Amino acid sequence: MTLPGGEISKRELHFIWIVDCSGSMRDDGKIQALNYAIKEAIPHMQRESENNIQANLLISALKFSTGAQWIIAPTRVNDFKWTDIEAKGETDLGQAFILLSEILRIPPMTERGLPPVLVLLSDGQPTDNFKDGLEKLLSEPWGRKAIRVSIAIGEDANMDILQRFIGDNERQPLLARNPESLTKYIKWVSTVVQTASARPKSQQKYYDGSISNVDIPKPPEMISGATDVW
Amino acid sequence: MISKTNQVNTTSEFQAGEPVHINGLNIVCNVEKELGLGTQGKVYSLISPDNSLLVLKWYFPSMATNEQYDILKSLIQKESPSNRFLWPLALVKIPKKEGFGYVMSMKDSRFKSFSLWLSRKINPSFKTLLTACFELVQSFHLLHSKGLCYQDLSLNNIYFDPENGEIRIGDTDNIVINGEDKGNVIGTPKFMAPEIIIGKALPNTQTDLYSLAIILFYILFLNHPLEGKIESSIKSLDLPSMSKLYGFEPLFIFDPNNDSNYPDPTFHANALIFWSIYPDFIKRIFVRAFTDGIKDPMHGRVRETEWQIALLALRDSIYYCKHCGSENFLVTDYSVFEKLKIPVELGGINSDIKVSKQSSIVEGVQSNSACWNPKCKTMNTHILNIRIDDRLFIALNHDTKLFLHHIDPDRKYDFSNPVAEVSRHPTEPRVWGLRNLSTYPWIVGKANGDIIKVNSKQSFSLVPGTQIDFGTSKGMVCY
Repeated sequence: MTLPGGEISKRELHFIWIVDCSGSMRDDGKIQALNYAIKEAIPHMQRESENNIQANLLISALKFSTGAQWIIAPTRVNDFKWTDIEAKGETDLGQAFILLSEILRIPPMTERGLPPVLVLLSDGQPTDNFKDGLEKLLSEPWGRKAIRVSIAIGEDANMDILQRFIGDNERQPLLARNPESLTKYIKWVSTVVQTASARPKSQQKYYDGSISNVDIPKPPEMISGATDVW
Repeated sequence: MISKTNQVNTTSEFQAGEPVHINGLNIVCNVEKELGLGTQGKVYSLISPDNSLLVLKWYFPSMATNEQYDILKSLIQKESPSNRFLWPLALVKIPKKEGFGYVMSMKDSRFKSFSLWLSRKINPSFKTLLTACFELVQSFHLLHSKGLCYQDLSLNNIYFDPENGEIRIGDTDNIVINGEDKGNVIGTPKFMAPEIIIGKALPNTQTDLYSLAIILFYILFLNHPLEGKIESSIKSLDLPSMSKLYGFEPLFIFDPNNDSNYPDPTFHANALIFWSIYPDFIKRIFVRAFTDGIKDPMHGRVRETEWQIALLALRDSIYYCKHCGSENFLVTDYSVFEKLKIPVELGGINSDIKVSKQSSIVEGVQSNSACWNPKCKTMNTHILNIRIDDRLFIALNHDTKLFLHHIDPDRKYDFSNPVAEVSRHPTEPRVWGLRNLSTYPWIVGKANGDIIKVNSKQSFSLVPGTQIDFGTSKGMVCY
């Protein structure tokens, strides 16, 4: 006999990939490495979310090059499929931020959610006015509350801009110098960071007490030994 | 793009096949695969010489502190309180690898995360859930009575067998001597005691008791005990709002004196449904756990021994609806409860702890004997049960077994071997009996006054009014 009641009520958690696919991402196979890394992370993400009693994880993706477009609408993690993207065009990061700011409000966001997770992946310099876009994004309460993580793909990425996107000096952008570390970081954000918002993990004793929306665990420690190939 | 000669060679990670010398166990294993990535380190499954299931947890360099090393060393020296704990077996240090790790047993695949139950991906019975709850409470009682404290109790590190309720407790590497203020965790949000969240305390056995109560409530009500209307009014549940909800202003959803955090039927239907099904005595103990238990961390919390009694009483009260077979809880009338002398501190009938009034939504569902199943609602009367002395009663179902726990006051919680089981008459299928599985004869006084002897392997008919002298206690069959 089945017991009464139903599934524990969960909050919506939006996880959004913001992917740079400007022309320079073609160099050194960066875009291929990114496509590979995200696909590699999907099963781990699904497994992690299975143990999640707090959140209904919805994944979406938007790309920016010349302009910005949504490429994947919010999709339940178990149905999520990544379609390889191609690189060409400019780096209109500001456009991406504006597009994001349009959905980070209620509606389309739910009345009962968890802080969204925004993951920005970029290898270069914005070619448009990213400042206005970022300002617009952060003017939305859900944009401000979002857990914002950025990954620099290769040394040419503008770390300063990626840092401004994070908006918290305690946390730095992750610098992926090679495909292995990109895969590792993407797996980390898609599992550990996912759960920081949704399924709180053990907290460390010596928490610095800084006011943040979500306590984010430390990124995986990258030990050098890997060569810089980009 | 990748230069093939330059492999990533992170010195705190393992590749499949890498040998691991475990000096403490005097064996060499090989890494099978990575099982998971946590906040403290990575966990790998190992291939061992004798095929025993072992896992290696290897700390991130920043987590591989001297203090953690000492904690593990002392845990390995102590024995595991019981086989329910996945206890550290040996420390591992490897030349040229940064940090250290430890080896522990791997849990069998039959043990599942409780999150699967909360997500309703598995269908355990009430009996299984209550067995799991009892085992949890019993295990932490054992741990605490050894002077140890778990520190980071949450649904993330406990597992159960959905078939029989047996449990396993993982992440034992934060267990320390109570009060020593060691280790680098303070707990998991939603499970941490309020006094830790507001910075007034560090983990100790009292805060473990709070986390334990949260876990029991989650398992039995499929809802967090502090997530009611106040929670559903929060649009984005971020860290500041969580600190308020679980730390600075905690309010039980069924607080009898304050209904401002009462469950919201849209989001907290489970809490309302289960609250309407369980008998009052178990609700009272939860009320105490989340009222006094919040106000007075030192003296107000429900002790493990109290949970043990209450959880077992609830398990013993399960009967199957005669129409649909659903598990219901036998609520005997007031006078029986009075006779049973359930202690006041356990929320007995004389207790002044009030149980919050039913909401209008669940009114009508609550009835002592109507099946909770909305498609059934059959009135169940005349549930056969047995009262043992004035201590307890057990509903007698086709599959009920009695243990020393029930009949011998000196052998409480002894469930090792059944001493009696409900049996069916070999030729009269409508006649049910109680078979003596012990090695001692019972003296049975029939309702008509006759006295008979029931030897080992024999049964007597379950007729209301029959009295049984088990030797260590006396029972009476009731209807």
